[in-house]
Amino acid sequence: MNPKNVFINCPYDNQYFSLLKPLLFTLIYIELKPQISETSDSGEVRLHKIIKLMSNSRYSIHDLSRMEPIKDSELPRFNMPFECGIDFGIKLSNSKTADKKFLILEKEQFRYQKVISDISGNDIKAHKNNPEEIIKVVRDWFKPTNQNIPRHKKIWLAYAEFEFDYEEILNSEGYNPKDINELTFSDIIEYMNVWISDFKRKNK
Amino acid sequence: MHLECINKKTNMNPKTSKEKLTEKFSKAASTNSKRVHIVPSKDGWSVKKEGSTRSSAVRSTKEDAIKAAKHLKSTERIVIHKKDGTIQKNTKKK
Repeated sequence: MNPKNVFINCPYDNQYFSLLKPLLFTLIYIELKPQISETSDSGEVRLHKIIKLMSNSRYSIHDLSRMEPIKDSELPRFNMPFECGIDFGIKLSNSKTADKKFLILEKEQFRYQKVISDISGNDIKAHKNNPEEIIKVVRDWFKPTNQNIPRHKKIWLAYAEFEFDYEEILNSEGYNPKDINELTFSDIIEYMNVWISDFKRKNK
Repeated sequence: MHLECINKKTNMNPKTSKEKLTEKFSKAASTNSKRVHIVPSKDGWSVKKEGSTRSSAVRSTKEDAIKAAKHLKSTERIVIHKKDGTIQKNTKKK
């Protein structure tokens, strides 16, 4: 297990993109390495890749806030609880992965008790669908592991500046910055890494 | 031919390479602009000059934060963010 790796299990849709970006940004800002599966892989390949990513990650963030359907006419989405269950299986079945730590995110603090009460006793935090809140929740959870992690507002203000550059650069090149499928996650993570390291260097 | 049609339809620049985008992100983060950001935060609306890590002021309303931004010296543009952090407006300071 890489002690810097953080596996991310979350929905991949444009509504969630405004939470996923600050989540990725926060992890990179505090010098962790987000691990996220690309959506372009076929089902079986993707599942094997997910298991590999989970097994190599000391930390996992499971966002269960989007279990319900996006529209009333659609069915609930089971991918996030399914992947969360696999990760628990990896943690509990092998002494090498027994130290894995999970942060479970929800929209409201106690909603999980109605639908997935077996996870009670884990670290479950609510981000209230708010990007600043997701930065705060994630930053606060990792703070005991590294005393050099800055306060959440510093990360949020830096993120606001990044968001401006992200939209401006993608628009100028003919991409749609609101579309989660416009760039691969590995590209987004790489651009964030570059931006954050140059931003920190400038503000030393 | 097919690619040209797709590029035309999406207005996508076919020459945009990963290296070019990386360079743009690096340049954007490294250079100081004269933009001021109006950012929603738990304690109101923060006024933050680009290149600074702290806010210059915090106001309880977005309108007051914009007024405060206009009074900051060397401000050329004001970038107003929405509640979700995305960009609502990027205007020239009047």
